[in-house]
Amino acid sequence: MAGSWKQKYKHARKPSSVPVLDDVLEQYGTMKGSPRLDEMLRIVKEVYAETDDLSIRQLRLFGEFDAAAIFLDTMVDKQVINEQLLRPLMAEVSPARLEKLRNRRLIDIVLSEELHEVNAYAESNVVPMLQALSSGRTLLCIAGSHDAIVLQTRKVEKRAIEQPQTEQVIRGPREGYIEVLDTNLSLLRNRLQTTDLCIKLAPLGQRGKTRTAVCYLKSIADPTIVDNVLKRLMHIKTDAILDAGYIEQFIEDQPFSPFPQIQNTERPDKTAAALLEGRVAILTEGSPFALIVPTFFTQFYQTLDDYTERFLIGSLIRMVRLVALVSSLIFPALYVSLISFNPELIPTDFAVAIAGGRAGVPFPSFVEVLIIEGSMEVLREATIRLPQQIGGALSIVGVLVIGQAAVSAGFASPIMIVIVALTTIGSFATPAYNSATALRMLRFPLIILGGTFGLFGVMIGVLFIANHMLALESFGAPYLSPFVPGSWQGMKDMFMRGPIWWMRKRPSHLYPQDSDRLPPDSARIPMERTLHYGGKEGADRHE
Amino acid sequence: MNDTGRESATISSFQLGAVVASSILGIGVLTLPRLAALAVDSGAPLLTFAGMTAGMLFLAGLAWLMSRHPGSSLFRFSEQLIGKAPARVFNGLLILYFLVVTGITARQFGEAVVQVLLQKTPIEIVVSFLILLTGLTCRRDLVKFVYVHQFYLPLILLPGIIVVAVSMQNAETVNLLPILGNHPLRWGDELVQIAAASQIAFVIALLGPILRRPRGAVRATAIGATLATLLYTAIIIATIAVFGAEEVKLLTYPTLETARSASLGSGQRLDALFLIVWVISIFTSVYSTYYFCAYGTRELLGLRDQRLTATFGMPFVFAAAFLPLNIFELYRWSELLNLYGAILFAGYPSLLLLLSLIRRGGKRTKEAEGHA
Repeated sequence: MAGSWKQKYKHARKPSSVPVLDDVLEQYGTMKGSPRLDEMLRIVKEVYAETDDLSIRQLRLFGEFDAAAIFLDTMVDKQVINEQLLRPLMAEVSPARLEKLRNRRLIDIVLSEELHEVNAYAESNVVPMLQALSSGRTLLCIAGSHDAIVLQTRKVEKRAIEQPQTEQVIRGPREGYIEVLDTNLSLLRNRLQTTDLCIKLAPLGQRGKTRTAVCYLKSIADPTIVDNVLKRLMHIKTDAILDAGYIEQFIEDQPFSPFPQIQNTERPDKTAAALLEGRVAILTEGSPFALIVPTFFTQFYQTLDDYTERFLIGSLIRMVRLVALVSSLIFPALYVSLISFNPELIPTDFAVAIAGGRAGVPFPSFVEVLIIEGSMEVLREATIRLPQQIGGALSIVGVLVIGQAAVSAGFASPIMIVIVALTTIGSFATPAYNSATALRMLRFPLIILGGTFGLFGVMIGVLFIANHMLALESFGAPYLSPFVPGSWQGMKDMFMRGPIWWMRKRPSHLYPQDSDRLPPDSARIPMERTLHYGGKEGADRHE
Repeated sequence: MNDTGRESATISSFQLGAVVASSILGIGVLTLPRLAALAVDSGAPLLTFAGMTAGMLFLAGLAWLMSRHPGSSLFRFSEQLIGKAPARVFNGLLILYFLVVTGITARQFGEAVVQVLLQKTPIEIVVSFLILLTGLTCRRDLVKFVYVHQFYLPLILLPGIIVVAVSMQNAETVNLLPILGNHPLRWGDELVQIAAASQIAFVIALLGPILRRPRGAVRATAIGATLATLLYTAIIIATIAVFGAEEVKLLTYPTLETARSASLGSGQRLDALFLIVWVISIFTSVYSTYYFCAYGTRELLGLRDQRLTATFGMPFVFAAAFLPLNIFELYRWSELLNLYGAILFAGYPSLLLLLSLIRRGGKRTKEAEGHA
């Protein structure tokens, strides 16, 4: 199962000095199961000595052979055990059949002829048996056999598939991932029903043994990138992966950068689209988020709506979003530096209006902006954590306090409120929460630079940010691709969203093995322009 | 964790051209019009065009030299051609020269900022900001160096074109005549001064190892230099056409005055905005020269990367920036540097090219064929 590819990267692992709880199992080493039932039960009871939900059900197979079903009470589906395990095995059988059972290996017959459960196999070593128990499987030990039968009987409570809260779309699929890995993988498989789709599973974390899946399309994804992902995952040495966010922080290229270098999504369709571009997705048990690598910055302002709607509309909406993104970064800093250093850049009438609004404000514009922006951040954070009913009330109070009362009280000018509102709304127009937050936070250093050195300071700050982004890489792919290094094909999907039949190539900086997304000749269905309808041409047109 | 040896580790001809153009376009945007007008009056556009073209020829020579030695930078093949010790002396001189040029350019820019934008801020602060920005960005590898130039090139070209376009509303063709200027015979010295703007593009000598198609180097360099030449010439045509040569001589920053004369109708001035946008073009030039210093010192000392040299070179650049005591001395320094630099930049590659031609008999090496 998962072991094969892990072996390949064994050299990448470093010896760990952290004691691992499961070392208890190590005393059993490669010990084989015992044919004596009481011996097997003793071992299980010893390992699970302090665990009260361990259940052992002794039974007599076909009224003849001693056996025991061992499982963890809280994790299994008891109905499966009753129906699939106990019922067929405890049934009476004819004497002829009994004779046959005596003569051949009992365990083989049970496995191949009696058990009506797909997910069952024979296991001969003690350690995997014990581990299987803790992952919700049921162990069937039969007296006289070295092997035990392991049955998948896990039952995990899960919620229904809903529309993702963080990535809503107007037009497009409404389903999102949930916390159960198997369900998520089935959602993904359902969208890519091809032999190409590879899913590599392995437990991550010393204690949690969190099942983690690496998915990619074999004939598209660059093997170097896949290798790189697996290698980095192997380096993770931690207790348990509680969310995909843990993995992200372990494997990202530049942990000290404010910019996220790995995309996360709750949407299977988005994951499938990424896989089709040659990216690699990482899903983990217990997290409704898939990680997608390598990531370009452009992915953070693209949404599914861009693609499901016609391309002109999609392009326009994307432009709007880009304006919002840039304004959320530099608007307040520009305001401060224009007011304090270069008022001559503002048209005269407007400058007079601004000066009039600022007349009663006691602080320099720099302090004013910091106060209002700071309180806006507090308000935003408070609203997120509150239950929806109270959140609504709070935002009304916040709007009143920040908007109207602050101006009346005389510590902010009306134009300031407009600037802050534009910035805040602008940052919410960015679909990816993590990158929006990065830009929101970077605006504070820019405000300080603008307050001290005017436009020059803002420009230097922006250059610092741009230079930093130019240096970033995500799994070997340049962060600002397809703009830098340039790729004309990629730029069709950067500022604008080109028509789908026009974007023929996959992103070149992912080095896809098969770079053609569409056939080289026009992929669009040729349409003859018929001027008169109802005739033969008209009918042909619809075919 | 980087994957080296892949396509991302090499640069295309387009990117090489971008490096050339964005390196050349720099402080000259602010200083060239006055310099050219002082020399030949209304002959300034022609002088600029001729000077830049001359500079381009030498750059093309350098690119040819690079395409003859694919896979190695100036520091490697110069040692092969003229021996280790002499090559090191010349390379050391280049590094020293670029260090001073970095400082002087930063200072010139600082003077402009202090005069137009931040009258009360000490110039030391402005200059040190620029040097800090440059120094910290110089710590990355060559490919990232190229990325920076490629990213900023559109942001350099755009404001230049906009200034030219908007200033045309005030242009008067008569200001451009006579095209040859009033002293057609005094061209030699000034030509060198103008051509010096191309010196900064000498930084492409570092890019040898990462060129995807060394054979295309000459063409790419020429295209990049032509782009810069055209923009410079256009800016100077615009400036002279708006003010006339005599007026330009009196202005410290004629290009800024051109931008100032253009307004969007309701009386606001746009010069500050343009100066701010030109921070980018100054930055890319200073970045090129300083990267050459940091990378060159690293090669000379045999270090693994240039983080150390980039960081510790910053105080020296700062010191170089304040060698001239005032703005007049600054411009005298700049002229002298241009002149002596021209000897170094024209002579050294020519010498190398000559030796390369003699030693290999004008034939490409097998290695070169393999790369192409």
